[in-house]
Amino acid sequence: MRRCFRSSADACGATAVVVATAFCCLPAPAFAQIADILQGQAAQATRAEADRSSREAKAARLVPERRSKIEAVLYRIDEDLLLQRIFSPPRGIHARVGGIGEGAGFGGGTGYQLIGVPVDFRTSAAASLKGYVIAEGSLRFPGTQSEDLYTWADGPYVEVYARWRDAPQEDFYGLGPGSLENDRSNFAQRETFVRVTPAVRRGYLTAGVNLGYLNPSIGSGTDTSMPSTDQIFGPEEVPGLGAQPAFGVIEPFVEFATLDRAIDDRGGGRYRVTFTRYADRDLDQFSFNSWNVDLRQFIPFVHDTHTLALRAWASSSEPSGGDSVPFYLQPVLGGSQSLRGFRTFRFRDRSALLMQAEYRWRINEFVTGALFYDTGAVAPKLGDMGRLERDYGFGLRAGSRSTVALRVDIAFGGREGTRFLVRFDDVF
Amino acid sequence: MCSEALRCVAAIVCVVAAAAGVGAGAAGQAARAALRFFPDDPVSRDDDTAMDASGIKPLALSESFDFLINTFAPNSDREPIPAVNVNTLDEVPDSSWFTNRIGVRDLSLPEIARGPNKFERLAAADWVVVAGKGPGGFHPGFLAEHPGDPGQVFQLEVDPVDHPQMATGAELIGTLVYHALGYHVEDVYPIRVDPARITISDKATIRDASGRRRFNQRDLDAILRLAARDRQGRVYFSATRFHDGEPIGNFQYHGTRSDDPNDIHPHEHRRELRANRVFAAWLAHDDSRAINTLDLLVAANGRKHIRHYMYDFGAILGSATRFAEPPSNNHENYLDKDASLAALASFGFAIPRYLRVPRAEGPPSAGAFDSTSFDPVRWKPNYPNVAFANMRPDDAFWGARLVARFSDAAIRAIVDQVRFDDPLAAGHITRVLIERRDAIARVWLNGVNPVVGPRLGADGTLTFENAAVAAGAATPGTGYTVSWSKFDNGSRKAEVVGGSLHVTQERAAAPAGLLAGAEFVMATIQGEHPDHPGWRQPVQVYFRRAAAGWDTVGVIRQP
Repeated sequence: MRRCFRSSADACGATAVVVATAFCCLPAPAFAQIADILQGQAAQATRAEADRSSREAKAARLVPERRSKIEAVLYRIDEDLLLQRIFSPPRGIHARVGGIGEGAGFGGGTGYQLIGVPVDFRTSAAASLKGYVIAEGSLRFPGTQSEDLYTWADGPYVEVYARWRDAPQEDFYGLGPGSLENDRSNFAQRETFVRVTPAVRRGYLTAGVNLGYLNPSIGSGTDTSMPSTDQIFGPEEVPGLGAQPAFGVIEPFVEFATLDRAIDDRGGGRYRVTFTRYADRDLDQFSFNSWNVDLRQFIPFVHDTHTLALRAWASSSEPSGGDSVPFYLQPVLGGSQSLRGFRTFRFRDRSALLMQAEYRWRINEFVTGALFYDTGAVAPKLGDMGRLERDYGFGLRAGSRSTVALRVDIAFGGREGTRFLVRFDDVF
Repeated sequence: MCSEALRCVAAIVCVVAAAAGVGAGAAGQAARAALRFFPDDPVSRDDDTAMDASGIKPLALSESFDFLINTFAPNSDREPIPAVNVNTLDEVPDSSWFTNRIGVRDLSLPEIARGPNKFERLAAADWVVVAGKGPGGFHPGFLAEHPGDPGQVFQLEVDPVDHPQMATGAELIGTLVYHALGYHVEDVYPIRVDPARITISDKATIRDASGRRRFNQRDLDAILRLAARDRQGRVYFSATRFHDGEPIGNFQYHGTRSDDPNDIHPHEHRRELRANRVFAAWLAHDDSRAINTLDLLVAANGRKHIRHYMYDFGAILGSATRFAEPPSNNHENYLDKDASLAALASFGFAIPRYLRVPRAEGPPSAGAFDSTSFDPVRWKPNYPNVAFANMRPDDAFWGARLVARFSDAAIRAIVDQVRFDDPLAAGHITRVLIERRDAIARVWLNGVNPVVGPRLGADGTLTFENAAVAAGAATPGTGYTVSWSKFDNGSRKAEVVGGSLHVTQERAAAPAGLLAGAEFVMATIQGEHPDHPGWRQPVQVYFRRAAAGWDTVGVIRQP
């Protein structure tokens, strides 16, 4: 070693630095382990003795295996299914994030649910930063088979559902396709809704009827950044703004769904058709019928790594006799689920048509990209549809194989500016 | 001043390096002691059961942590050093990790097909559920006992409805292959059970996100609802029979257990763990990670030691247990930076090569298992594995030799154990395994100089074999260049004797005068093949004088 320094000090120094660097890069545990072996073997006569000596050296200073703090936390999350425990446990109190309604803003709350017994019982309450409040509960018999396994039993079931919701600043721009962005206003909507649903599920098919009672009330909006709806619109041009009856609701429905996330289906469809009768129980002014068709088709390609997702949705309401369809029960377009290039509830009328197409592609196991195009319009009648509104954009979705946990979309082309959306659910 | 300081640092580092013997490098053993070869070299067994390990406490891994640490800090234990647990012949000695089987002897077809199993067939019609699987388990199943084997717990897992025998077949095939390779594996039996003959113990429990509760009929129904059945309505199960021993968690692919005195070789530098990348690639075992291993604390000779198991093969071949293998698995890590950027930047229009090739994936029972998209070099597990990343060509060569030892008949015998109802599935899996085996042999047997089995006769004739040619993975080359040295085992110095000799066959004569009086001699062999530059990597083989001639004592394939 000394000769090395004398003969070529610079080279040796450089080499030493390289060696030193290598040592620095060698992880301490690995270095210690290798050094242990070498130390134990230095003066032994046989390989077996040398190895034994190394093991004896280690035996003299054993340390219990421990998890690091980070690993300990993650272990508990894994082992106790902590995320599921917090947000959707089979039994017990849980936290709730969002789900208060489109335009409600960020919110959360708590709930209690009991799943895995002969009935499913769910109840929860939540509030948003905008002052929205919701409380709801449901009872379903028989209950879901096992949410862990994504299975639902075939056969008949009955569900009872109740909701109370206070939405103090719902956006309203006027009725019809020609509503103006500058007429943006807001109103408060408070409602109680109760329904009973007898239904039957058999394979891909589910059919049943919702029997409900809806008791809404409309008031002035609380968002002071814009006028309240009742300040710029009158009851004569906006049916239901002045008085709100209770409704009896009868809604037969049928759904055919071939898409099964439990077996990693990437292709398939979900088709749902409903017909709804709203019967005015108090004023004899707002009884109407509506129908709703929601068709979704997912077409995978390139070995299921890409998907063309298509949606067509149409809804139309027809008042009975000389009655009117109250504005707060009319179909709406605009927002994160429909026309993403427009504000929430930007368009509202008795009929609506929406078509959406998304080209989705796998970026990695947890992230999916999307290019999308939305088009649609509202009108008094479907046959009166004029120019369709449209937008397009780009999005990223993070989540697991079957669930979108976070969605970021940026929408252009909506003639009212670029829209940036962050949501915790899928678009469709 | 700066220079002096540098010298001081350098001197300290050099002294440490010399003391630790790290500098020498060759096989990680050259600097261990003064002698290059101990008298008992080459050892055939690493006695890592020598010390009592009864003080070990169970400690399971965090699956999330394992993913995160390996995905975002995969380089922490990466070193391109030779494997540290190989013997001087560059082979893996038997240990609590590995028992040489197909690599050292011809296994009979019945022996390969039987694998680790205690019973030839598991005749069990009635089952009693004793517990649910652990929380978070992805593959539907439960723990059960049957009257014919009282007290013995089995883990029963099902096939998805649309892919009968896919996951259960993968479980069995993986078990039999890994056993033949030399790993410890649990017993696995393919069975079919009439659901009406499954009952639930009064004491059966299951743990879910809300805690532990009784395992009830709804839980069983939910599992059976997802299960494929045969024409008689029986459910296909894989029944895993756990071996004796106390489960103490999983082993990791890096580091050592700090509480195990026998565990002295860093796992990321263990040959059988590095080369597991070759086996995992062969079987499309993208789920080959620490969480799918098992350590059992077993008693023997009055003390306890860990036996290390490979475990859970339900997601190999074309299976992802609940569904067929997604197309990106085995080709991309879950968070593959390069692939993600390419997909993002191209809006998904830059289709990876593995998706562009036609993939004949076979019938439903085979899942999505193909050979056309398979590239042994580009193969990737679900997330990075340090031991796999540390695999060098010599590790891969060792692994490929084992893979190449599986004959077509052996592969067919293994697949036949599943007793596929669909003969097309058996044929497809067998064919794909053979094609993937051949691809591995072509790549990894030619990645280094494939000279194996060197012998030095008493008459001074050196003979050897070419593993690549023997496996049909290469045509014979244009010859070999052999040079000779006398070797001083004490000083580790080699003195060249004579010039290089070019031979066209796998034999060469030692120069006159070399052997007389020599205790050790060394031959350096270089192969020549126009298509395989790796053959030119010199292989050093060492011979030690024995009573009746010469013993082969050392092979250095890749310093």
